[in-house]
Amino acid sequence: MNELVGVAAAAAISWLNFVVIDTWMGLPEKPGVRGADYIGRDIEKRGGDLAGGFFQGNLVCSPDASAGTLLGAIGCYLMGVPEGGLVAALLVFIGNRLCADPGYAGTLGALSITVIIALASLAGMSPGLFVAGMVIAITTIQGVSHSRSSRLLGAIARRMDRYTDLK
Amino acid sequence: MLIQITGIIVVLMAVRTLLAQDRAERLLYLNAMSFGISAMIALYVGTAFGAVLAAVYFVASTITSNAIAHTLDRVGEEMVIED
Amino acid sequence: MNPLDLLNITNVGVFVIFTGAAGIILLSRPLDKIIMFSLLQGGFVMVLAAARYLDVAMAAALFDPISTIILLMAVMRINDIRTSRGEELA
Repeated sequence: MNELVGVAAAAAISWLNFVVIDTWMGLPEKPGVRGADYIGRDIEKRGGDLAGGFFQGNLVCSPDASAGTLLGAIGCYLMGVPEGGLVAALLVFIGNRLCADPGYAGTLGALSITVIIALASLAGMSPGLFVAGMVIAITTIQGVSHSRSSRLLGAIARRMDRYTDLK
Repeated sequence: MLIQITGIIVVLMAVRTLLAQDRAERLLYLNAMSFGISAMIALYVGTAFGAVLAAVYFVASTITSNAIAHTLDRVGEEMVIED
Repeated sequence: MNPLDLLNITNVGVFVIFTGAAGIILLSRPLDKIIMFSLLQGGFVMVLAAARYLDVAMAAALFDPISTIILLMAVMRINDIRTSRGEELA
């Protein structure tokens, strides 16, 4: 029971980590590649929000802070707390360059989750909880109901002044 | 315990990919499933090479999803010849 | 909790492979089949990692997406040719 509570807390923390970093780096504003545009407009057709749709399209098509958070947590779990996160940040940076993406959302997400895991280990949460928690967090955004989660992401984008101007 | 939680998520996303009606919806479920597969590989193989394998699988699956979405946008509705 | 003990990486990998194969057989449009093929590749890498063939899993994780990209290029090319010829769908 204690582990389930820990996984739920880790899920909430990693959800906030990657949503805030991605929204701040401008993911809901415009689609980075053509595939993200297709996914975004399809979500809007099915009753969602366009900025939230662009956010989800960018999540699918290029490594961003969600990839950085997951790989940072995996690195910290398997290779020790500061070193694993730095190796994961390097791998995400190489992956970003392979996708010809100039942004640094993935690297920033990996570094920030390394700091969070280092602080959380003082409270007794092991890094493995963050790995499972991140999978739960991404499932709540992309696996349950696309229209509702895109509206939530659009509301967060509007609050942080990153809403899209495209129609 | 952690592998079982991720295992449930992977199984659910795989079934939803099969039963979905819309193609962009399938891509989103596929992406969530790839997150789950990366995590399961890393949790099962408990060494540093497991982390590298999970990272390589994840980046490769992102490139694949990007290519499929690009093709879906470019092709639209395919012309299939019935025979 | 006996049913939860069935959720190890081998069983989940085999289930994902079967789901992908069912999708490839049952769905009718080519791009849907390619999406299901990507599912099958994921299950395959999981089964390889479960059997501890880690170098084979690394090769599979690197080369399977390249084959998917080549299949997608083929779909694009055939569609362009059929559109430019103005073929009628039978």
